[in-house]
Amino acid sequence: MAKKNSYAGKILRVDLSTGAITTQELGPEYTDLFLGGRGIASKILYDEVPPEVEPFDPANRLIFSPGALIGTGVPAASRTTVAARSPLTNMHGDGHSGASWGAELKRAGYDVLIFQGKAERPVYLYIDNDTVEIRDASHLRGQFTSAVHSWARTTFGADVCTVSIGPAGENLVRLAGVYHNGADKGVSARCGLGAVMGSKNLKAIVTRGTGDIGVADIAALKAAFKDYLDTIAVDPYVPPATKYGTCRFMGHRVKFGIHGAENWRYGAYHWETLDPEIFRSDYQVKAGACLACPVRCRRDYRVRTGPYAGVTAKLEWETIARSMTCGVTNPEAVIAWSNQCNHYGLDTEGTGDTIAFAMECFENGILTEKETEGLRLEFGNEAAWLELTRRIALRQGELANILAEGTKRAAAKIGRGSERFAMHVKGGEMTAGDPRGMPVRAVSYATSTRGSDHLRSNPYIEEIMRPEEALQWFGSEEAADIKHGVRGKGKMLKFSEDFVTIGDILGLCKFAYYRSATFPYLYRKGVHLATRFYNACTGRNLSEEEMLMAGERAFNVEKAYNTRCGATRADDVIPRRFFEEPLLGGGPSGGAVVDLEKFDAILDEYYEDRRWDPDTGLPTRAGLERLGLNAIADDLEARGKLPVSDCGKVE
Amino acid sequence: MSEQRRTVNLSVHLYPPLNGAAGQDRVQIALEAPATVGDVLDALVARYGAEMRRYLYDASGRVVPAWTAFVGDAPVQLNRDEALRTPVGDGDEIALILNLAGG
Repeated sequence: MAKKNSYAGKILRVDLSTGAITTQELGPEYTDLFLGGRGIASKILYDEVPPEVEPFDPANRLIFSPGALIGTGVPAASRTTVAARSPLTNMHGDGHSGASWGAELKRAGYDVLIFQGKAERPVYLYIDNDTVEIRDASHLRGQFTSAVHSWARTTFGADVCTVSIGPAGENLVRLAGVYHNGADKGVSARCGLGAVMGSKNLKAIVTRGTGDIGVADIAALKAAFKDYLDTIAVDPYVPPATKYGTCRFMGHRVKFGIHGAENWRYGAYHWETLDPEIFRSDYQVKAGACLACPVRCRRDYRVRTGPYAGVTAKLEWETIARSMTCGVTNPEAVIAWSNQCNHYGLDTEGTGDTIAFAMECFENGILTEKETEGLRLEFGNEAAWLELTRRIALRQGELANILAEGTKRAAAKIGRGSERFAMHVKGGEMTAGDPRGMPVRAVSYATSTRGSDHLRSNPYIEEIMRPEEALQWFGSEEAADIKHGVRGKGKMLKFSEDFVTIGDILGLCKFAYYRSATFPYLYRKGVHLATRFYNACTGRNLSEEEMLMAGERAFNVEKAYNTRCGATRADDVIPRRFFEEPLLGGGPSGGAVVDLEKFDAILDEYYEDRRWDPDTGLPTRAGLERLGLNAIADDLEARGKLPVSDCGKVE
Repeated sequence: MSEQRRTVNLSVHLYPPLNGAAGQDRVQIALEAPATVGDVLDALVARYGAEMRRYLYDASGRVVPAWTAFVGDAPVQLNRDEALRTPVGDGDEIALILNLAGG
């Protein structure tokens, strides 16, 4: 009989070296403090993968952890965390996807799925409720993500869900993602987790679950559901999302001049051919939604004529943005590139930035047509861009093999001054908009626990907050000033990191809960309603403060993981280009650089508010113990990773 | 002729969801001088009614703080009441965009 608290109550563990398949109880040591999703995944990763275990070591874990509210009917509760030690950053790594596979895993009876070890040959895991088997996948070797999903549905029925990797993951490309339900439904893209899956010879997970995911208080769930719908009905944030999907962000980038085009050099750029209205009117074939989402910002596009005729792709804003990073502004090429990345199993963000790095090397003569094996790797050369993407996925040729290692490692290998073109944080390629036009973003990219990331926080709070709200929440009206504010920004960043982590813990989409047009709407969705939904589904009685603390706790576990891997304040930094080279192209942010003094001032305030040591960036015992992370404090102390002076205060 | 009787002609670029309320991306507005950003918002609500009001103003009657008005290339963050008093001049191009970063 299903439990009536949204948890299945079990962890499924698969040792691919020995073939052992076991289950264990999902106990309160996980659910009480870490709740679900990213929270539980981060804790398991910390407990089971010490820094001595390298990312491709069989002892690394690959952890699938659906958000705590997936499958309950809570709106937009669709996100599943995949976590491992990242082969891209060598630190904590996770990625998140909105497809329905996570709900299927829970319906099969498992809250968490952990892989360890390495199979001798390609295998897939077959899960049909209580039946769990490791099966031969030799016939799937080299197959696209879409082909694996089609094979699974043809073989086992249209009701199964899948997770798979494409050729890129099999080839240990550090830019490979983990794809959910084929090429066009969702991907845990960041941190090279597809390569970890490939390193274990795990090609896919085929899953069928027919059980019920119980809810403790259906009346409370219904009441919160109504309040959620009432909130999004009056939030001006929602209509553009529903109309254009994530393509809507183009207008913001244009007016603030923060494109980051041509390897993060140009803030203003010739964007007109990528207008969201063009995508909607000329290419859109389907407007859909992730699991149970009323915002409905998923979009599928098809090219109708020309050299890419017939190509379809699910496309997100970040893919468009990274196309511009490579100087490509032909929307049909962008759709084709997205299709290619999705089928080969690549992360478009990391791949786009890595190719942009190579393009700038080519522009400066560091790479020539000899190294590129005939490709004229100029910004905007879409044929070369598409071909190099294919080669990277297959590690075909010496240069592609180097670029398959990601920007940081590629620059180290190529040398000859190319390092100054390598745009990454902690080894993770850049994302989203250029930080030179919006200072707090610069720090948010730096402090992200998985490398540069715009989804690890919500510094955009500054864009929707009134000065009096900023004063009340973060101690200074300056925090609401996008361009010039400094005081309060560090506190705002800390709050926003804890805040959005709630979404990853519960499985709530950031676009449905953690973006809004006013701070009251934002808080209402992201904390108040998230807490009500959690309590209604689980029967617990968490306060909003405790929910925020759960986010803070998970973030601190990841910080501690990175600390254990050797990270310090020196790693919380962005590429020198942003400090030293004025943004090109004119426009509203033309000529801007990130002010190092302001960057450091915001970072100092951030560390202080986090109770981390400002000199070293290390977490403190007091800060960790305040969150109930005593064992982690002990572990860090034993490894000499706590600061000499403890600046934290227990309240 | 006094300054107050002169007309300020403006081209206003409406980003989503305002373009949905107006049925078009760009509108022309004529205001009596001197005119401000707040006058532009008032004129839009007067012309396009309740849907435009719902997107521009919250329940308390204050402008939704996520709106930024670009007067030419200069951004004016509308999260402060005094920002509504920013002057606009004849021939100015105004853009109203919701700060919806985060993609």
